[in-house]
Amino acid sequence: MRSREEGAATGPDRATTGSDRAPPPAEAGTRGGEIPQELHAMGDRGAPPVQENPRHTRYHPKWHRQPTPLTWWTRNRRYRAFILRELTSVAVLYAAVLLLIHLLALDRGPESHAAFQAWLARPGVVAFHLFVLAALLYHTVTWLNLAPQAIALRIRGRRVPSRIVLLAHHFAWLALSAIIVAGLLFALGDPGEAPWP
Amino acid sequence: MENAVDTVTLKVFRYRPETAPEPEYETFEVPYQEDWMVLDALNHVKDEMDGSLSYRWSCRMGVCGSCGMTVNGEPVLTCATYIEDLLPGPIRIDPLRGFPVIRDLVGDLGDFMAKLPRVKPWIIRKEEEPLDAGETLQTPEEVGAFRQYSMCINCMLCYAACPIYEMEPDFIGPAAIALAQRYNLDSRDHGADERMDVLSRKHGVWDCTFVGECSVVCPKDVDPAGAIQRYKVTATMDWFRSLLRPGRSG
Ligand code: SF4
Ligand code: FES
Repeated sequence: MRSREEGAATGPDRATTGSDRAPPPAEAGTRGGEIPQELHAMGDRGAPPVQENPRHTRYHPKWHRQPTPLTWWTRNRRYRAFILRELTSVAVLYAAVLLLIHLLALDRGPESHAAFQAWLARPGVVAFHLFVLAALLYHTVTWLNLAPQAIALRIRGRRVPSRIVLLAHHFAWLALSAIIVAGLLFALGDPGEAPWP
Repeated sequence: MENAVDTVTLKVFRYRPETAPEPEYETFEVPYQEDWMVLDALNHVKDEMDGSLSYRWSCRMGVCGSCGMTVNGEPVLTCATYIEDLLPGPIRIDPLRGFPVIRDLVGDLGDFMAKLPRVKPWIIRKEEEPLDAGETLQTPEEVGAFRQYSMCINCMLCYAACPIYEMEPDFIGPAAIALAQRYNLDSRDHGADERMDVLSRKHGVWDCTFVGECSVVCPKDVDPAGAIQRYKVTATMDWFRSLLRPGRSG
């Protein structure tokens, strides 16, 4: 017990966030609770008179915890980029739902589809969808950029350089997009007759 | 000191719970020397201006991992951060974020010390071989698989950089997971299943949202964020495998 308290005098021994720390005994002083003013570390060199803070027990002070501000993500550019990546995932969800609604409209027949087409063509909706597209692109590019960190590919015992992993992902993305667009154009025949305005 | 041509201002976080309930900043004007690190300036304050300033340091060469602080908002090793790069100042010095402050710039790191053994950072063998079986040899490739993760100096910069840890202190955290991977990826180790119990449960890897800042601040290029994401892949594969082979718990 004695050594434990002495340990705490120079630096508390363990843990912290939990509640498992037994509350210190009120009279924890093993070496005489009071340090005489003249033995203060500062000697007489301008040491402030020691005012006991009633909220603290000597050697078991209340540790200070800084609360996390809601604006923590404004601390640096990388945090902001991260939050933007997370937020733009909403655009991904939106695009998926939009596609489902589009299919639903198709399923309900020509009038329903035409009404949906008309809605899509409204300038406000077009502007909004351009914004969604930008968000989607940001999300996709930043997401793919993370791939090298998550994938440690080894070929014959050697780690494949992250640049190669990165390029492969972007290439695969562009290639798939190109195939989808080409497939659509092919399926629709003359793009001039496409069912979109 | 005699060739000091200029001075630089330090704004230092002070917390003296015996005398003041709230922390405050104290300003020190120290001589500027071209070859000084932030730690040298703090040592100057302690030696010449105010001996009561409390902070940790030991090796002064980026090895011991004890001098981590928040300098101008970024978690850094103060013995490896040139004042020159922070001019003209003032330079703000805070304790590492995410850890309770005991005094001034000294945080309590006991939380990490309690978490570290939970990931069993040691080699676990299914069967111990007798000594006369000789060493367990590894090829350079096998060493290469985990070497990066063995470089960690437990400086806690990655915890300080992690907003998840700051808001969810039960998160096991970047360095602990990187160290678990250091053993998981070691060809001599058979303990991956035991570690999975801690790593892929609540407050394990899935608390991580891949902010990635831990890898940015790590002074040893451990890349804890990479370790965590790779472990997510491993845990997911393992889960699928356990679906296919229901007898085995994932
Ligand atoms: S992983 Fe890097 S930042 Fe984290 S404790 Fe280890 S050396 Fe420090
Ligand atoms: S004093 Fe050892 S790492 Fe800075």
